[in-house]
Amino acid sequence: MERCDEIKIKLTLYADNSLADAERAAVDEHLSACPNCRAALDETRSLLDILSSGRLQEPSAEFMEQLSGNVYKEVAARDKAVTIHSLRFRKLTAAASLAAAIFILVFTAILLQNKHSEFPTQQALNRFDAPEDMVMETFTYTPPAAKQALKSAAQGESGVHETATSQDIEWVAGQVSASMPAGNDELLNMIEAMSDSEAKDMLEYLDNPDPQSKRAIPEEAS
Amino acid sequence: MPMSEDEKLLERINAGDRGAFDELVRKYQRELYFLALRMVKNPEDAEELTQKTFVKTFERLESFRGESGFKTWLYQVAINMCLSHLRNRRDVLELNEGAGTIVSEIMMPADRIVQNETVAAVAAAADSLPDKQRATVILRVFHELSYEEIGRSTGCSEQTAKVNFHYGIENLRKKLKANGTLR
Repeated sequence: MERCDEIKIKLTLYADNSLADAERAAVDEHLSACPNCRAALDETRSLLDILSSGRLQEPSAEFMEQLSGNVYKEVAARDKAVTIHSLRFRKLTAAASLAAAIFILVFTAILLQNKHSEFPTQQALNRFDAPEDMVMETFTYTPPAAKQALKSAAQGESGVHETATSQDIEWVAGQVSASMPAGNDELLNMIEAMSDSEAKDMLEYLDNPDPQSKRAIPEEAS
Repeated sequence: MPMSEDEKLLERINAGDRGAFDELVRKYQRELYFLALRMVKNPEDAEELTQKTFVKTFERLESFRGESGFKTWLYQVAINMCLSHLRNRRDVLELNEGAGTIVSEIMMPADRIVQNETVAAVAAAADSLPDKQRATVILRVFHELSYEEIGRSTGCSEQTAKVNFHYGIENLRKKLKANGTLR
């Protein structure tokens, strides 16, 4: 049987009902033969009961009512500040992903509207009023991976789209609040509706191999 | 493994659902307020710390990996906020004491609704425990976190959380015996 000084911590945890069965059995064995530890256990239990009976005044109704809105405003304000900071000093992976997402949204819409054409028309793509010097680079994907990559881009995750010029970012930032996140679900639904090969085609199109041509839009098939 | 209720709310928040954001804040605001109040003993500070906890948590949402539950993560942020607040307040108090300022006004206890003198004495003794022991006792007794969750929230192992709880209760017992509350 364990000595009194060996079960001190266990006795506290016993009173707190947080001992495993085996440990509890060992403490039970000790308690059956030790009146001092039984008294200590009773005292600890009383102490915990008294402690837990202390009540606090409820927070004000005004605080409870306004907290969520106040937190939301503060988070939104800080997010904006971070974006501005990022625009000036960072590579802007997240913003670049967003640029890709917006681009993909327009591109997908066009692609789905024009199933017979492998690539969107120049005329249609012009409706996507992106800066002329927008550069997008993606990687080569297998068809299933392409679909997942598009979804990741649509959700603003980094890694799909690596670079965008700094001029692009300001334009993108201007579009963000209006286009996202309300457009996010719509974009995801569109991507979901695509076949794997369509997703792969889209990524290959975005993965323009010629940096000089930048927006090398295939001409509309006549 | 099925998603927890919190994970579903987080997924909706990530998709831009403002209603889910409100729902998640409302779910935890009361208990976080009480945690902060028990830690810092000042209602205004507790309100401020509760708001700061939510702001910091949502700012760092991208780094939430889900290894522990969202609630544990939230408590971790809250406890860190409270401990930092207490450290800063002690620094201010030390400065003020040096300047001969009366500090008792700053240390006014929270508006407790106490049932009797014994409960008040136990609460006061608990308030004077070392920060980590007090945090552990509060998280266990009032918020019913498991020792694993307490360990994550207070930055220690589950075993250390158990030891902190034991010594918290033992110190409480000694204080109450010394002041005659316990015989």
